Amino acid sequence: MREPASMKLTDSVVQNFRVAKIFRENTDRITSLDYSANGETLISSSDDDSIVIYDCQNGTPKRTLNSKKYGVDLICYTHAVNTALHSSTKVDDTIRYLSLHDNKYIRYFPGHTKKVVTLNMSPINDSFLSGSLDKTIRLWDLRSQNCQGLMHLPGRPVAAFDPDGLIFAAGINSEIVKLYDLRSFDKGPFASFKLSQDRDCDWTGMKFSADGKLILISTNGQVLRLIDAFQGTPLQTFMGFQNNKGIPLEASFSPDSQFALCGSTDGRIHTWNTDTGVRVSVLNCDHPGPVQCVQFNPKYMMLATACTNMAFWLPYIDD
Amino acid sequence: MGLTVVFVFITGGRNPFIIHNPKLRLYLSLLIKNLFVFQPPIDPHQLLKALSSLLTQSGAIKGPTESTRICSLMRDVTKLASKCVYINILRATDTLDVLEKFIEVGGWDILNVWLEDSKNTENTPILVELLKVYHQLPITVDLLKKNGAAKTIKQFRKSEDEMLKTLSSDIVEKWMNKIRENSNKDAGEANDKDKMRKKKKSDKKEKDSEKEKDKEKDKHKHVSSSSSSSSSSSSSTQHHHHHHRSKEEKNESSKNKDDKSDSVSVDNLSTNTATGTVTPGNGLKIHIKLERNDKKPPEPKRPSTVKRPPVKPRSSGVIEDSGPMPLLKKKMPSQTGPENRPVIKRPGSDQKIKEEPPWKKSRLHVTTSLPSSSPTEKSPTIVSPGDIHNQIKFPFQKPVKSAMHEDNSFINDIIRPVGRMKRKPRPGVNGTTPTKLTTPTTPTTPPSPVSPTTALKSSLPSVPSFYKETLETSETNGTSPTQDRSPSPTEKMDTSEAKEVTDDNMETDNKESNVEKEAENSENAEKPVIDDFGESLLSTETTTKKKKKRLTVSWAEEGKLHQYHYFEMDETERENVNRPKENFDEAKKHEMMMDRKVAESAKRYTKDNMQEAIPWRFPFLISGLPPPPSERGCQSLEKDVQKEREGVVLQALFFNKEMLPDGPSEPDLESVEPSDPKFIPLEDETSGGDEFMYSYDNPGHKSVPEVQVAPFQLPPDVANMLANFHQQAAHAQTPMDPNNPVLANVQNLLTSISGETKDPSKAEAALEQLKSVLNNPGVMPENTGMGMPGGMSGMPPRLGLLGNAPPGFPMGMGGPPGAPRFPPPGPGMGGPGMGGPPLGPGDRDEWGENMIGGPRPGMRGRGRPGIPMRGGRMPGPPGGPDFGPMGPEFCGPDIPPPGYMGPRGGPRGRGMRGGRMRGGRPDVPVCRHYAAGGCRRGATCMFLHPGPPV
Repeated sequence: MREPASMKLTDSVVQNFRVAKIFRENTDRITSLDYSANGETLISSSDDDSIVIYDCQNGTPKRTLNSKKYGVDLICYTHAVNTALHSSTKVDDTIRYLSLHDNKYIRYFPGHTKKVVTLNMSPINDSFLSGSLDKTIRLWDLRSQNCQGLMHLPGRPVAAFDPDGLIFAAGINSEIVKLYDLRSFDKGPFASFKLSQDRDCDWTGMKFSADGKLILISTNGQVLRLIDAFQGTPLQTFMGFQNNKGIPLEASFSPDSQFALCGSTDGRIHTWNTDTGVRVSVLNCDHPGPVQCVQFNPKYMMLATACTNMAFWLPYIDD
Repeated sequence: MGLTVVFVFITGGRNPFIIHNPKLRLYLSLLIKNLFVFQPPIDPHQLLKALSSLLTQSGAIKGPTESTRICSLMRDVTKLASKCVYINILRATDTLDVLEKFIEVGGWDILNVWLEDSKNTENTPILVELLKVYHQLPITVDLLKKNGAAKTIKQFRKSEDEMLKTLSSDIVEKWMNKIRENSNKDAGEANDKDKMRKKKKSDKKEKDSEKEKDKEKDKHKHVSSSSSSSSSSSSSTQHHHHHHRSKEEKNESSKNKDDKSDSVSVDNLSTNTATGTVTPGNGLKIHIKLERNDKKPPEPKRPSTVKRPPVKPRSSGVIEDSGPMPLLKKKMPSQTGPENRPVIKRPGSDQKIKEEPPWKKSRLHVTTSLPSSSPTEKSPTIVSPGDIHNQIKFPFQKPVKSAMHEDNSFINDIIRPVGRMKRKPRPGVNGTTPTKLTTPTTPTTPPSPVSPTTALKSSLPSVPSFYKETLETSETNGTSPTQDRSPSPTEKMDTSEAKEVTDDNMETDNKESNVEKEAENSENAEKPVIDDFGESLLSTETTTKKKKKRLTVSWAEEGKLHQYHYFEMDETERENVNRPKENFDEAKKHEMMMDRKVAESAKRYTKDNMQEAIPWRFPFLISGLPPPPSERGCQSLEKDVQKEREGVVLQALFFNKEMLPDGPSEPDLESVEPSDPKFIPLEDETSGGDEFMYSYDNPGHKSVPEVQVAPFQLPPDVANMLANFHQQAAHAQTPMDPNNPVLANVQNLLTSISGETKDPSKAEAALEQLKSVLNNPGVMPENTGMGMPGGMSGMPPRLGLLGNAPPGFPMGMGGPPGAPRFPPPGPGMGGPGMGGPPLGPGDRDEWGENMIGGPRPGMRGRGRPGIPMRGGRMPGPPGGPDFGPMGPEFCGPDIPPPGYMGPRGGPRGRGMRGGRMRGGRPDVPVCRHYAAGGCRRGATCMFLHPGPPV
């Protein structure tokens, strides 16, 4: 391997992404992805109760673990190199803290009574957020199984930390974004942005852009919302992709916050410019199923998409 | 017996043995051989020589004195050879006095010991010889009582060896006769003799019991039956009383039962020495009992005789029993086997007891009463008849105590003899207790002779007699035969008698007396009870008959038989049955999963056209990324913990998927005190949080205000203000945002101004207002006061008249952050104070005309005071298509004058409804007429009139 060169992410680069690796490690839908902080590994969870870790540099599957007993739904890395959090699909809705090192659970975080639909790790410390269909958002600390904060919502929650780890945003009732200061979350939100309610869909995901200025809200409908992270101003609405099954398709930012990506049930990948709202590209790689997961590597010029197959994308560069 | 010829050893002085009988010779030779082979050799010749001085020439003992010597010599003999010698000597001896002396000196015991030994060693030849000796010996009742010899010999009757069988039978026969003779002859003496006889009888019974019975039965069925009845002495007495032997017999049986019960009670009361169960092997116990019997019989007999009348009912009961009896009789003969009999008999007795509840009751009464009521009588009964009672007791007790048939048989044997003993003792007893004895005898005697004949002649009596037998046999199991023999004479007396009647009368008397005694006992105990007995008997007769009928076994016809299949519940089977159900769902689910997987995989394989378009290579780093605000996980403590942990814990390595465990191992247990999470409020209760309201409305109308501004020359300050707004809007990245309320207001004003160009005065007024609004938001023109949004006027949000400003509504208009929050200007903008610039999408003319003085009628909207507020809050973009809705909102029949509206509407007016609802609310349909070219309603139209105002 040569020393990785660097390149700037531009429209043309985005348009020239091509599938460079396809992994068929899973027999069922891949439900969640997460890159390690250094972008070198990717962890994925699947409905076939397996956790697959990929090496993003070499483009290979690195490791597979099973979680047959509890299942695995959402998964995300913690700050330790070899640990991950995942939510369960079986037994109960406990969140489990897993050491990949020796394939042993470190801690359980019981509390949710229904399926956990959002799980987000603080970028700087050991806190993490989880939201469940039981209409609660919980704030946890990895070091204790006791829940640190509990929020009751009127509906399905979404939640995310901002890149600084100082604020977290909670999406409520698919119409309000509330911002909480982590230091005083028990005092209530310091800001709330009320948006028109999306009548046809629910918010299913919320992400801050890497620069912290944007919030991308994904839905189980055919629409994405981009709002200003400070003012809550709706900035863009991205549409045009297909989601005819009400699937919570994941949308994500590129590391430079310049692009927003989203999968589609027709197997395509849509990319928009967050600034202009223009759709930059529609990538087609013939994913056989809905592309539920799309994430840009935080460090590398690499894109991972997943339906049942995992695809690694690289920009095609004509040497 | 004694005549049975001795194959004498003629012991010549030098020819010790001369055995005439070849068989004997053979046996002897064999014996001797055995002796020589296995034991230290003893020379019989020398022994004989040594003994020659004591013997006659024929080998017999010379005289009584010599017999004692011989006896003492025999005591030490252990060798078989010498035993044989002595046995032969004894057999050669036929002088009675010598033999008696021999017995007296202890020969009886010695012989018994030998008998036991040889019996134990199963040395049949010796046994035969010994039996012959026994046959020869002069027997007395006392002797028979003395040890188990009689019993042992009796047992030989069952042996398989023919020799033994016949010999023992003969002996038993002989002894029985002897005993009878004794009993008959020595009625007075007899207690002892009776005892002896009893012993003999018992022994005989024991030994011969069933065989003898069989024989006797075969010979004298009647006799046997009678004997059995006689054994239960009560029968005879009853016979006498009732003159119906059968009845009597039945009575006897019943009495026997009663006696038994009585006896039991007596036992308990008297605590006889013999009360202890009679162990079959123990002759001693038997003897003891016999003694008691001897003592008791006299007294009981007398009372029994006295109490005859009560006995009758019993007899009747017995009679009823007689019905079944024949069957039993039949059984009896068929059941010649001694062993079978006892068993059958016992159950029979038991059954009787069970079958006849009244009896039982009566018995119970009797038993209880006996002790208390007739101590005197009992005491006598206890003394002599006590034996009977004891014996009787034994059977009763025994069935309860021990289920052993053999034991029972033995006991029964004992009992039967006892019954006889009773009979015998009675005469003796009669002597002792004249009154009682006499009374029984007299009544008993007459019936006894009658009874036999009648019994023989009349089937009924015979039947009862049989029944008696069976009953008795049942009661006295195996011993019955022996008893039969012994009683046979007595019974003969009772029933047929003719053959062997010499002493029968006596015996019957005795029996009767015994029975009477028993009866008396019971009667004495409680006459009423007896009566009860009678009644019970009567009643029981039927019951017993029924019972007997019940006993018959019949099979239903084949056709009437139903076939039933009964299936045992098999747990495993049941599980198997149920499991499928449980499994069914799982299997179904599993199958669905499988199908789904298959379908998906198939779909994936068929549809999965994914191909890697380019080769993998090391991905480029992304350049130009802003430095992360902070290093990821910089504040994480857990990562250090885990790093440390990973330094200690071995990594789990799985080299292939097969090695992969199904799941991670469970976490280590942590003891964490549960703590409740902090509650995260949804609202900032201190109202410190900012709240912004937006809609996703497409910012397509942003150009509208600019367009509208053009026609009218704004004063410079206003123009500046507008410029400011535009800048601010741009800064806020929502330049197009139609929701910007300030902009909207301004734009509204502007449009109205521009629209009112024709009316300079109005325009002027509008401009003035605009100025005031923009420059001094806190100070509203008086006219518009109510119309201005509360926020604008600096009023607290909650107080805002129009002001529906959201909590925390920022005061400043200019601040960029404030811009988005800027509440939409209330309807006040269009209020009367406005000077009439048209607010609504309606036509300007109307607006222009009507706005001044007050809301034009059309603006009444919904007529509720609060409504104007809402309208006021509505931030419809001026002139835009969304502006239209405002019109309808304002349409209302009765809008109060604005002056009012404010204060009244204020309280209700807060809330974001208006802002949200009206800002671009898409659901108000466009007015069809307006779209078609003109709407007559104009501003009052409920529907949207889109498009920039003209």
